[in-house]
Amino acid sequence: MTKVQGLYPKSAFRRREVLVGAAAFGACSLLGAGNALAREPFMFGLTPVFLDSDLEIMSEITEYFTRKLDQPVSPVKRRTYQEITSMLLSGGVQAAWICGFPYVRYRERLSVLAMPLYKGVPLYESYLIVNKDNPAQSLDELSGGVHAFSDPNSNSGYLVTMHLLAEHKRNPRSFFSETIFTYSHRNVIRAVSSGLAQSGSVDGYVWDVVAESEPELVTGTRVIRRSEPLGFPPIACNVDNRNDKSVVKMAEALFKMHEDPLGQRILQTLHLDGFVPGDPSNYDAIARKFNAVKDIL
Amino acid sequence: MRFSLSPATWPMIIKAPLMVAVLMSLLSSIVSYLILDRMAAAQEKALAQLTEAYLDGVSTTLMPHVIRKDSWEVFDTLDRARQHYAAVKAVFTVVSLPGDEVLASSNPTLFPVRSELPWELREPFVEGHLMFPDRIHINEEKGVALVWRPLMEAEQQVGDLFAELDISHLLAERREVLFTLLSGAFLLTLTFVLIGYVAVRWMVRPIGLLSHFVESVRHGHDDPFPVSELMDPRTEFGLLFKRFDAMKDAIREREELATRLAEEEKLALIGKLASSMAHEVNNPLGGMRNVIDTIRKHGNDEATRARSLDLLDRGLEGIANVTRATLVTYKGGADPAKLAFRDMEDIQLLVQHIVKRRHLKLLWLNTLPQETMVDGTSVRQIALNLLLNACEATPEGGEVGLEARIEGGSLVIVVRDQGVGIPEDVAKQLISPFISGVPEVSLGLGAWTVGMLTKRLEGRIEVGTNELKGTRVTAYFPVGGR
Repeated sequence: MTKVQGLYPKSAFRRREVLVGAAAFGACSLLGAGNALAREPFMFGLTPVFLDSDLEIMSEITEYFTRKLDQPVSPVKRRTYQEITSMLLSGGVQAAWICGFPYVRYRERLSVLAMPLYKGVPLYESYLIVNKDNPAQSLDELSGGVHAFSDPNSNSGYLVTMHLLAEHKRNPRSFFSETIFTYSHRNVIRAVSSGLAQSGSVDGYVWDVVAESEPELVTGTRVIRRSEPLGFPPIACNVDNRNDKSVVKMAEALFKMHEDPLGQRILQTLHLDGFVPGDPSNYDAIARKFNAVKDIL
Repeated sequence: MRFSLSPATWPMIIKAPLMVAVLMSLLSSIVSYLILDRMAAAQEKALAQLTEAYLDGVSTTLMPHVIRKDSWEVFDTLDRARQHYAAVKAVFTVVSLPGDEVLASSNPTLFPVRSELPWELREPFVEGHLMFPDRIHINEEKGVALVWRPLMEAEQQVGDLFAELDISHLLAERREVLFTLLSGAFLLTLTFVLIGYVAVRWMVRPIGLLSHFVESVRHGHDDPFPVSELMDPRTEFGLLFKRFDAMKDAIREREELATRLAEEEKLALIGKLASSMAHEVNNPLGGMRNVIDTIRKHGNDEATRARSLDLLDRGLEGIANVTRATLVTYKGGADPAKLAFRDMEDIQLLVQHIVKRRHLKLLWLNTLPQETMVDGTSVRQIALNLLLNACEATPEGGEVGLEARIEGGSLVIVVRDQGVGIPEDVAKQLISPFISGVPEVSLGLGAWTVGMLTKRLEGRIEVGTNELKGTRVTAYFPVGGR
């Protein structure tokens, strides 16, 4: 595992600078307000890889990036990863917070703009969860039940479990009696907690955050397997506009989010430490899983 | 007061409040039923409207997901609906596909995905037809309502929506209202019963008072105080009390009259007795005076003196007989519990004066033994009275008869005359003096006294005609009685 904590200097995080920067930025935004509104908006794609159900964080993110980019930023949300990925590939959005799985699928055409730091590293795990009343201890015992996936283009919410089944020489098509896609990690937790599904594949980061923010939701579930650490869902852009001014500004805004009071609040809400520059090798493990099972997906 | 099972005998003071209680219970039952019925109808209407809105909203959202058979989205919709339609209080909602396979439910533990729809959900609506798309089946025992709506898309059924709604709050409301109604009715009934009891008690108080007065009059405690002064004369009880006073006065007057009549009769009898005694004594006295004259004139002649003294002796014996008979009749013999043969015979002497005066022929037949165990004084008074009446009734020169005998354990006295017969009202006095009461002044007390005495001796009297072409009165007295 690559230790990436040192990628940004924590010592640079000084109170005075933050205050001065904020004041200067306030003046800038006042002067450039008309300018910002006049320009084409920066389309920023968002997927349920993070807690997109929180409406307040959405407006905070919009506000933060609009200020930082000196350009209106418009968040774009779609139900599936597929839709956002397609928009990213076709230029419908300039940047998007996508999953590692779509990234490795289209890694020739996509570029990792930034990687979130979760507990100090740009890594997370996939959890295999069961209903609290389900006595199962391993994947094999989940056979014949209803399984909840988050999205067919999710790494933690689909690919990891499909790969695991393939490793166990199980037919992913017939192992479960029924598979359902909830198109949100939080919904996977809901589906398993309510008993709609006996088991589910969920983003470990989401499960941990929900466990803190909505403990009553996760108490209905139990984690029976944690995957190895995998590359945290990155913020990606199309390779073609990697050097666009606004995209570069976006990357900068991400890297400096921890220096800004609003940015800090956003990071705090998201339980993230900050963003670091992208490293494609961080997603090699996901790519291997994809290659192993791509024929059956 | 002894309590009887028959309601007819219960006192008014119980009957009236009881009637109030029964009527009030009946009334409150009807009112309670009507109110609860209306309330249930209103509740069911409100429930139907609420359910309708709920089913409309949910089924519209559900439709595309059901068509795609998307279990998650159906669950998500039902789960969110539970929060949005909190007023409906859905216990669970289930969406099934054609073939009764559960697509999803708000409670997947109860109704797992792809499981078979429990028959209990379908059963209440089996007879339901698509013409009645919204149905509510209320289960009061469980406090729930089961509703069903077929999910229709372009004339095609894509699934069914079942929901169980918690209506226990509605039923609790009904129970609360019922309790309030019943307790209210109970308290009202109790109040009315108490008021009824007090009112009736107050109203029937004069009746109790009157009953007390009537009882005291019956026992002869004649209180001259007019009870009508106790009541307002304008009320119906005032009128009743006034009539009671009038009745009491009338009874008192009658009793005074009867007493006076009895006294007069006694005096008349004494007069008759005295005149008959005077007659009986006077008859021999005339002869005895002649004898004394004869003795004065021819006292020296031994034979004449002896014959004259003999005549005097017989005259004196006749007088002695008459006085003795009178004494026995009116003062009682040696033993009043017995009737001696001789005492009966003496009656001839007591009627002798009238027999002679009216030139009657007395047919006398006394076959009694030396002693008969009856009240001799009373029987002699009865026989004398009857015979005197017979003598008075028979025309001059006619025949009267008395026969005394023992027959079948009874002393029988038969008195016959040649009169025109006893008037009907007098005969009634003889036969049943209690029923006929105190006689009219004109009838005299003879017959009534005979009747009363006969009753006292537990005897009886028959009145008929006889072979002498007159009246025949027969009196029977039990022998060896009291």
